[in-house]
Order: sequence, then structure tokens, then C-alpha cells
Amino acid sequence: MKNKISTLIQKLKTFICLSFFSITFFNIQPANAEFNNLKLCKDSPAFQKRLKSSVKKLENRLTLYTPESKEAGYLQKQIEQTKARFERYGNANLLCGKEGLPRIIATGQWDRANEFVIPGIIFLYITGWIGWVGRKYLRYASTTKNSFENEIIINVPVALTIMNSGFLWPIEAWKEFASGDLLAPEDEVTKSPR
Amino acid sequence: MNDFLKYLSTAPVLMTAWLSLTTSFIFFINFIYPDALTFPVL
Repeated sequence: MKNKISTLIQKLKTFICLSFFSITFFNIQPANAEFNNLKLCKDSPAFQKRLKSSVKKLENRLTLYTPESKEAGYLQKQIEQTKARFERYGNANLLCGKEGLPRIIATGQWDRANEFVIPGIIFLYITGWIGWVGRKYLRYASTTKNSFENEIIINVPVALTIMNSGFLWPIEAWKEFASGDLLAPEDEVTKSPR
Repeated sequence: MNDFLKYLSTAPVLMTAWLSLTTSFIFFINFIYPDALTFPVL
């Protein structure tokens, strides 16, 4: 009975994994929603208006100070930065709403991958790296004599080598998953009495 | 010296040092490339 359940769970895991992969890699459907409500920021009058009003506000404050003063220099810099920001958002082909604020399109379509997909993947990669090397270090610590002490007083040279070797974590994780090392076996997982 | 190194290796001290480095790095990135809204594609 127990064996049957564990093979079932194994099959289920494989199924979930495979379906995840097929959904991600083989079933890509164009998610090109039509953004009728949005306009290219470059061509959006509201966006240009925002630029003008932002600069105007800073220029109004600028009149309060003498041109040589520190404050005037700071405000001048702010004006330049504001102009640079609006120019960059305009040139980045961002879409703006009616109110003139840029929108990030998170539908996953490739022509807008730089708005959400790429930063998202980078985020997952970096967080995965952190988690992976942390796990690796804990596993290393558990093999040493003073496992608790090694968690409180970090063995820096070992930790650094582990951190630097973590950049291939997706491959390593996959290898461990395939060899069954990634997940603890069923009988090692404690269960509360029921 | 050894004791001092051990003190520096304790988790809270190490974490303070490490997170200070990380924040400085992020500050620096935002200083040279401010207002990032999208990933810059060349």
C-alpha cells in the first residue's frame, strides 16, 4: 500500500514537472493583447505635459535662489535628470496610459520582454542563487563535527567558495532532482501524529 | 587576532557587513543608472 502511494506520488511529480515544461516551452501562444487604451509615451500628449509641469515646478523653485547658490545647482541637476528620465522612457517604447504615466506590460510577449520577463528571470536567478548556496552551506555544515556552531560562526572561506560556485544553480538543482538528492526521502520527513 | 576573526565570522556581524556591501552596490548602480524602469536592451 505504502509503496503504491509513493510510486503514485513519483508519477504525479513527473507529471507536474512535464506539464510545467510543456506549458512553458511548447505551448507558447501569442499574448498580444491590444493595448487600445495605451499610447506610446513618445506620442502621448499627457506624458509631454507631465514633463513640462515637472520641469516647470523645479524652475519655479529655481527662481527662489541666486544662480551661484548650492540649491540652484542642485535644482539645475534635478531638471536635467528629469529631462533625461522622460527622454529615456520615451525612447524605450514604453506605453503610457491616458494620464501620461508609463505602464509595464507583463503579458510575457517577447517584444516587451525587457519590461517584465527579463527582470523577472534575473530576479528568480539571483534569488535562486542565494537560496541554493544557503542550502549548500547548511548541508556542508551538517556534515561537520560542530554543525550548530558552523551555522552561527560562519566558515568564511568555505562559504565564499560555495557562493562563487552557485552561478550554475539551475543545472545543479536539476541534476540533484534527477538523482533524487534534491528532495528528502519520504521516511525522513517528520510527521505529526494523526 | 584569531578571536577577532572569529567575531567577524559570526552570523550577525557577517550579515551586517555583507548587506552593507550589497546596499552600497545597489546605491552605486542607481547612481550611475538612475530611474531604471525597464531592462536596458542595446
